[in-house]
Amino acid sequence: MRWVLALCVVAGCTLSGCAMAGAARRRVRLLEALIEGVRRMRPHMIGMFEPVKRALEASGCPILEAVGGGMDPGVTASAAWARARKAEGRRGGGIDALSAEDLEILDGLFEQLGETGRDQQELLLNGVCAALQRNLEDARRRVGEADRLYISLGALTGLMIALILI
Amino acid sequence: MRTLERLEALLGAIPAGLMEVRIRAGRPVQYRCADGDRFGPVVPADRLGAILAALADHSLYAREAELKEGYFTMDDGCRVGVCGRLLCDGDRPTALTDAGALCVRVCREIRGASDGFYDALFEDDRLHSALIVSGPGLGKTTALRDAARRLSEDGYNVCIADERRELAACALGVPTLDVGPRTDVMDGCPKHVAVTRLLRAASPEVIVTDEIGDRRDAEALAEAARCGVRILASAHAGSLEQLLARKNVCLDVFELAVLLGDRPGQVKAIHRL
Repeated sequence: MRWVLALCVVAGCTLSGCAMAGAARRRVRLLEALIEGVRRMRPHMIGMFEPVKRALEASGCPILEAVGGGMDPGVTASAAWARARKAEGRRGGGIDALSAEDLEILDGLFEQLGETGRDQQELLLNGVCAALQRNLEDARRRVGEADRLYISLGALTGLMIALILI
Repeated sequence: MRTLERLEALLGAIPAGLMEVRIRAGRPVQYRCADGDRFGPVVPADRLGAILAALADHSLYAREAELKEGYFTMDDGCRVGVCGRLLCDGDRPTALTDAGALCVRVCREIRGASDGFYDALFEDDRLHSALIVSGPGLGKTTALRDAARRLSEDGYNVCIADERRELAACALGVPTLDVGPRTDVMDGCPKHVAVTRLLRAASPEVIVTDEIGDRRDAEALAEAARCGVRILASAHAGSLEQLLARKNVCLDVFELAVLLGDRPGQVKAIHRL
């Protein structure tokens, strides 16, 4: 019976390590979706001069679409983002895997989105894409590290608890 | 949300019969109504930019080209005129900054606004090209829109060259104002560009356009008239003499000049040109 329990503890701790490593993978997927979304917004805003709300809703990225959906008449992109960030940033929410640096980039994006002329908006979108791309490369590098670190840590913790049990 | 509802959300209650709202930084809001002017609360200087951004759907870049011309048009046809510092590169405006005043003209759709002159368009049992003339704010656009609707309902293929998007107020290509069942609209571009393209693309019997006064507009309308298209347009002038003195209004295109009166919708005189 003790051996079965010990095996369960090892497996459980290893799976917890996998879950923690999964957050890093989720961050990569989120950053990829955000970059693609911002790229898709650009022709709508810069090429077709559509309002921010419509460009966000056409981005194909769920979090950007949520911000666009929250831009009721009179609501700024910044206010809609603050609301979406609060709702989706909690544990298990759509953007809980993003880092503080990622969120800072998005804060900067929504603070200025739609509030200046065409050239400045183009610079803003290009700058945000570049900054998110840098974070994405960093996130990809961390995925491998996180896989090794958290899974090993989980398994080791499980083994230790199992040894104590036995 | 329509412009009046937006203004109400931004400024508080607005009076009935509103024709125009003037919002000036650091001064009271001026409501121009059918029965006279009223004043609302003072708008703090730092609030004007926020009002402008809200009216522009927080998408100022999308209105940039229009703002350089000093105005932009809302989706329901209301026009927002903007005064401020206009930066220029020679004669070419490059940006409008430091907005100091807004003038929101409420778009009114009045069925029957062309009743005073519509029958005169059909003198001798054929449709004549006509120019609707008045000073600002006396209902030229409203009358023109109503005439376009009636011509369309009477069986003519009508095309509207709607540079300022006030005649049809198209949203995503669909007119939000009633311009008739046989009416096509090309909007957002200079009139002469729209007229030449409408001639090629839409086989118009009547072309309707607002506020002519540019030499290129005159040339495009003259070309359309030579193609057998009837023209219905409007121009700023207080009298026939003032109209005749305007060099860039192609008067030879038109057979009739309809002078609107001092009250909106009133026809003062109809002249043969």
